[in-house]
Amino acid sequence: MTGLLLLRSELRGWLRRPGVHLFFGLFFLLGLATMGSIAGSIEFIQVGGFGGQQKADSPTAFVLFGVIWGLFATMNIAAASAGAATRDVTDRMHPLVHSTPVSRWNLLVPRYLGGLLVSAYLVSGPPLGMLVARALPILEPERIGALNVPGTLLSLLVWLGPNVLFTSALFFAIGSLTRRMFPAYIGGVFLFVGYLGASAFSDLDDRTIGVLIDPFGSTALDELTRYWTPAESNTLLPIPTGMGLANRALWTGVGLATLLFAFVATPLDEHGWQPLARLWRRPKEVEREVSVPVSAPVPRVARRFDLGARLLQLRVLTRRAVGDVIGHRYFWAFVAAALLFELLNAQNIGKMYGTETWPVTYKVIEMLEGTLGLFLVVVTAFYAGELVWQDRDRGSDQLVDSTPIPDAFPLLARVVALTAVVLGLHTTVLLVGPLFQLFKGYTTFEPALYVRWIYVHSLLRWIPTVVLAIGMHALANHKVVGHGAVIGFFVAMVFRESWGFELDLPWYDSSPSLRYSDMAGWGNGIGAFWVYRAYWLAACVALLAATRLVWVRGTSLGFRHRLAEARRRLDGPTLAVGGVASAVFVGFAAFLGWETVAVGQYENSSDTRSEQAAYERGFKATWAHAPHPEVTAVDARVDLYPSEARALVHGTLSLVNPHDVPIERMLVHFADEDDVVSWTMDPPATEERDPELEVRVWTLSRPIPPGGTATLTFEVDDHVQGMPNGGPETSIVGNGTFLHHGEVFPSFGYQEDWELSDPADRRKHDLPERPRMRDLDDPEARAHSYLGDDAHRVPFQVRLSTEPGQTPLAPGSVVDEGMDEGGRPWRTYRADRPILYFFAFLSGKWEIARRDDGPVPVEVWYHPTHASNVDRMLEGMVASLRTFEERFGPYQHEILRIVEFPRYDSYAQSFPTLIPFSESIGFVARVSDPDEDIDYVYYVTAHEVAHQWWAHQVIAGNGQGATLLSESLAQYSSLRVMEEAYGSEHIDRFLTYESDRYFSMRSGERDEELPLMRMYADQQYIHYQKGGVVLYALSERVGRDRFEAAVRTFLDQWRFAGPPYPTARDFVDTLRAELPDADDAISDAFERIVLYDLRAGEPTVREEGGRFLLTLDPVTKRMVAAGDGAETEEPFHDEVEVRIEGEGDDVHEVRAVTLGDGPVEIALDWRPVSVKLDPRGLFLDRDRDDDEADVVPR
Amino acid sequence: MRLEVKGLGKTYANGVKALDDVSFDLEPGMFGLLGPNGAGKSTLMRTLATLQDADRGAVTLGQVDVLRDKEAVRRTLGYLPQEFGLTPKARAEDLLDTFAVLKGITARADRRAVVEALLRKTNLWDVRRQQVGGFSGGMKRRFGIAIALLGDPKLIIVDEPTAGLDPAERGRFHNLLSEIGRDAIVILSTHIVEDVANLCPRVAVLFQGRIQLQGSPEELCDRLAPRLFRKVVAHDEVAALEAALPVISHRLRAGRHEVRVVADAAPEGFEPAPASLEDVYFAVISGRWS
Repeated sequence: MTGLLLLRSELRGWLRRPGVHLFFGLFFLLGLATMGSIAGSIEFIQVGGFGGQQKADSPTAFVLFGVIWGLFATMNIAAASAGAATRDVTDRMHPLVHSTPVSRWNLLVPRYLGGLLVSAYLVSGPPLGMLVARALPILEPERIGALNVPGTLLSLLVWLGPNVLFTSALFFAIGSLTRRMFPAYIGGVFLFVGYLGASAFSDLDDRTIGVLIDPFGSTALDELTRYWTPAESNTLLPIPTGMGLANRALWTGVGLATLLFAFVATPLDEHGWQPLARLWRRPKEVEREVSVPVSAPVPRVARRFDLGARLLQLRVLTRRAVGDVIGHRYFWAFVAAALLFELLNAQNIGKMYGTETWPVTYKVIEMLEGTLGLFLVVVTAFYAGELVWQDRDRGSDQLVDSTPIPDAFPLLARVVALTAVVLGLHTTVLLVGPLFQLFKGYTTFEPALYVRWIYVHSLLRWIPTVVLAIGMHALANHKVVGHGAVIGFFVAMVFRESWGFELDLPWYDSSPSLRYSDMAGWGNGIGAFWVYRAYWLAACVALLAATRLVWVRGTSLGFRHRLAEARRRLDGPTLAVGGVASAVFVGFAAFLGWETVAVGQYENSSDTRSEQAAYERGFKATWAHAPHPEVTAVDARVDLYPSEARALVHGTLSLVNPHDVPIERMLVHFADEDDVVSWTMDPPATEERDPELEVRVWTLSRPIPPGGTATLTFEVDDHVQGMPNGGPETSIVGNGTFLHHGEVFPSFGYQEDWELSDPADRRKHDLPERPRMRDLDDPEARAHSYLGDDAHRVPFQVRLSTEPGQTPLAPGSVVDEGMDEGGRPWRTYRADRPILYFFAFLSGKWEIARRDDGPVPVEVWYHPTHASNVDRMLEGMVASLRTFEERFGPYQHEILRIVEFPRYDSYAQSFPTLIPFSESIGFVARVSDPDEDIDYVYYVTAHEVAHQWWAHQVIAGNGQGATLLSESLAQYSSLRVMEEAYGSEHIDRFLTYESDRYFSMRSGERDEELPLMRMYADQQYIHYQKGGVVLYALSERVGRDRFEAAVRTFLDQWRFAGPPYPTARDFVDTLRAELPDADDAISDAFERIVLYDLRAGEPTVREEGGRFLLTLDPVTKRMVAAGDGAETEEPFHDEVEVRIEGEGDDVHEVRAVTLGDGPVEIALDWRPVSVKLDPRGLFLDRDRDDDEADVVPR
Repeated sequence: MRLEVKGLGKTYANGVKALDDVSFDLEPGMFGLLGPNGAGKSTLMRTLATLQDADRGAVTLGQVDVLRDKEAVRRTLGYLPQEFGLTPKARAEDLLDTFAVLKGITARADRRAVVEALLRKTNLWDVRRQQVGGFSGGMKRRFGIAIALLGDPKLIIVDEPTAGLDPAERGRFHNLLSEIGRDAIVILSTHIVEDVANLCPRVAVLFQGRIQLQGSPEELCDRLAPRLFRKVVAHDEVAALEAALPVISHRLRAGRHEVRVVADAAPEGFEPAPASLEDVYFAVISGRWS
């Protein structure tokens, strides 16, 4: 009864606090905005991994966002629960409260429940906001419609319930055991770190650990729903099972235990639990006291207030401020947490297919700095407040303020001190980084890079934040308001881009991104970085001058007095410094604004989208079906100036009119209109331009008759204009230029791929629905390859020159080379046979490794310090060439090169003879043990080499399923090459990763999942992941040789063909004809989405006459999925591999068993211990854990 | 050196008149400023210590305009606020050294000498290596005086220095105060009359924002003495006397109440009483002085 009364008064107290409702309101708005963003047109946040078919109001959606936003409430829960536990002490009520005859339980339990209920109130904000948003007319009807209130409530209870219970119990315990608030906040930080730590266990092998140790259950939730199709996520309730359930139970249990301990152990006094209280003992009382009065003369000494004295004063004040921060008892907790988290995160540095990358310096620094970021934000915000209030909190303000120091010194000292602290925290990167590299056996140390990165770049990045945080606290003159302002700033900076504010210029402390690459160094972004840093430093100085005016000195706190004081302090020097800094700032702003917007032609992405819409509206009707000439030969001279980020292109394109009507007008696009220096058409043409949409319409003086030819010569000066926004130019860089032809060569006719593709964007711009790709059977799809309609295969020649010291590189073979004036090397590359209209120009300083023992010479051009995988690549190229020549026919060129390019992109791409390969994927991979690690360097190499056949020899028309003939077949081919080198177990593991990727990515599908034969070119999870698995499984079913013979038949029929180009249907038809016995399997593989659920069930064994009879009665399901993932079960009757393990390591056998007709009996000579169905993962099965079972004796 | 305060006035935003036309002149020596809590003492002290601005009036210290040229005042000021805190983990000598730099003593040897002298003077030399967080109230206050005395100040302001100290500690503090201020202007603000009576040749009583009277303690006592009378009564008589007579104070003497009144002639049963500074103080704050 007493307890109930106390609980009531507790709750009344909470509900009377405006802050509680303020935060509830905030969380409510967060939920509202979330719903508006994923299902409506509000541009509030971008929500990743929530695809177009998933309804925004399903129980899963509520739980997903409830849990995510609930994380943000952690600190509020800390405030509520620890606040409830410490309130008596902080209010100094404890002597009164603790002397009443209320029992410990009656005192503590209502306190806890009060905090718990307030916490529950807060975390209910986002789901409630989402629910209310659903009722508002801002959502698109097709994104909602899965509301299930009781189901949602139940799911929320399962996920959020334990979270609130556990966190509030933890914070209540910390609060009551320490009798302090701050340890609870520190606990919150650690909890967050633990959560992020759990997400570090994201690799397939150790995900179970992550699921269990994440106290917020979000990893478990992800694990539960990662394979869910849209249909499932719209209908199923996210109720955890297995490890997920264990996670919920574990943390609920931990929460209850913590709580119980707190209830029992909390002493009813202000000191808290004794073992902990000792940790923050106050300084020892001085007891000895001499009471002899001493009359000592004080010597008269000189006092000085010159510059040297002033500097000494500043130094002393700074030292004092630094001392206060590092002497702060929680500071080292921050440092410890940061170090811990850095070490934890370092373990996970760049894994691909479970294989680590070398800890190259830039990667290590980026990773550690990223880790540190969260801590820096917390430390800056928190200690800015502590430092501004340093003297007043302690009561020494009047002592210090009445000393003869300049008004600006307390401010300056704090800015310097906080900067030093931030820098000190950064130094942990310098400590952890090299240590970690050493530990991983990486010994290319780059101390200069570390030092410059941390002590120059990061310093310049953080000074503005420090100045702003201190300025905000000084101006606010109220700690909570100050913290609110600083946190508001950080939040705004995180979200500003998703709010649509993309221009860096007006956003305090923003600057275009800067990425370091071993090849290209700081790249083209470094200039903008310095200018922007100077710009913001000027802002800092102006801000400091302004802060000096509002800095509180003395005890006049009223607004009027601060204003009067500010006016008094606005003296000559302040005006001069602030004025000059402001002028410099405004000057930079004007310069940057001009350079970015006017010269650099900055465009917001929403403006770009409007232009795309305008282009479609203005040109589609007239031009989409208008004939345009096609390129029949390319002859170009390209002069690269990498250090100026410039390329001069003189191109001569031979054109033909392939249509049966004359061409009089043509639509022409250059990637950048301003770069076009001149053009000449023969026959001559006049031009109309639409500079806004970057479109040219040429009217020919003489129409090109059907079959007639024309010649276009053009000159393009591709160069950087003005200042970049967001990120710098990355194609032409100091070392490692990789310029695609599309960036400098024109294209003709209406550009379908400029159209807005996202259905939501199209609706917003009132554009009709648009198919993502031409239908598989649309005859127009055969007219051009899916690479574009500018040309078919063309003779290609380029004279490419570059700066001294670099090597120019393009597709084809070198037919001539020499040196221009000024020592500029040039080479003429010519394709030894016509190539697809798809080429690039490269330049850099590479080392070259070569092998001549393959079918043709192969080379790897690599950055000198990136040699570790070069042999692997050479071997991969030779092995691939041999295998593919044997299996699919000869390679069509005289040489094959892999060439490294900077890490601005992370892919490899196959041009004729030339495979640009990103620095960040193959070159820094660390395949330490090929038996354990998946050698993805070898795999990517083989995949790209395979494209010389699957893309460059046969390429599909521009319709559905096109990438089956390039990507899926390249994927299949590379699997075989990898298998030959590493054995089939390597493939099994690889396929496990591939099917995991397939299952998780299909749940985020935007429109609909399609069968392989009909997939769109941008459905990568189908053409890579599913394609590889399905083709491999099919070839295993019919036999590799038969399958590849059929594939070769197709290739022979279509090699270098087009127009008309083949389609995926042609490929499937060929397979059908060649493999008549596999009709159903072919249909399942290409024409439908077929998934399986195999479960080993409970296999039993019985001994009979010295033999062992194994009885299998597995669950075998075969499901056909619709585009949204809805499944229909069909009977299963198929041959499945079963791996049977006996006693001992070497006793095992793989048998092909026909399943689906009830129990099967297998006779063995030895005792089976366990069985595993489909050990190689050839059947796409979401849950492969249950494929395995121990055999039970019967 | 002379401190002249003329017509100083300060009204807070909430309408409270903290200072109302305050004027006085001071020569070197101890000056006691008496007044009950809320009389405006701290406002006056902080204004003189450059920490707060006045609305009206002028203050000069020698040639220096105290209200405008704050930096010049600070160079010659020693200020001990009523309440203050210190970096708890700092050692006494280090902290004093820091303040020595802030006060412009830049030469290291000079600092060391001054710090040692002041720590000895304030009797803290033996604990110079201890953390100040462990100091008792009296030690802390003495340490504050050491800070105030850094840099040979000409104007020393000590605001309520003995509040909350035990008698022994107060005695020590008086000794310390009497040491200083031979050639500096020392303003001692307090509501404890005894402090002033013991230390100050000149005193003023500040009440309701105004200087109600000033002079030497003897002179003030002499002025009051002829009109001061006392009577010892029982507890239940006090209320009636207070209602009927200009009572300035009553205090317990061995279980009975001694009531003091200010009157032109002795009321019935009252006898003349020797005047102390305390009587002067009570007479002023009860409004019975004039």
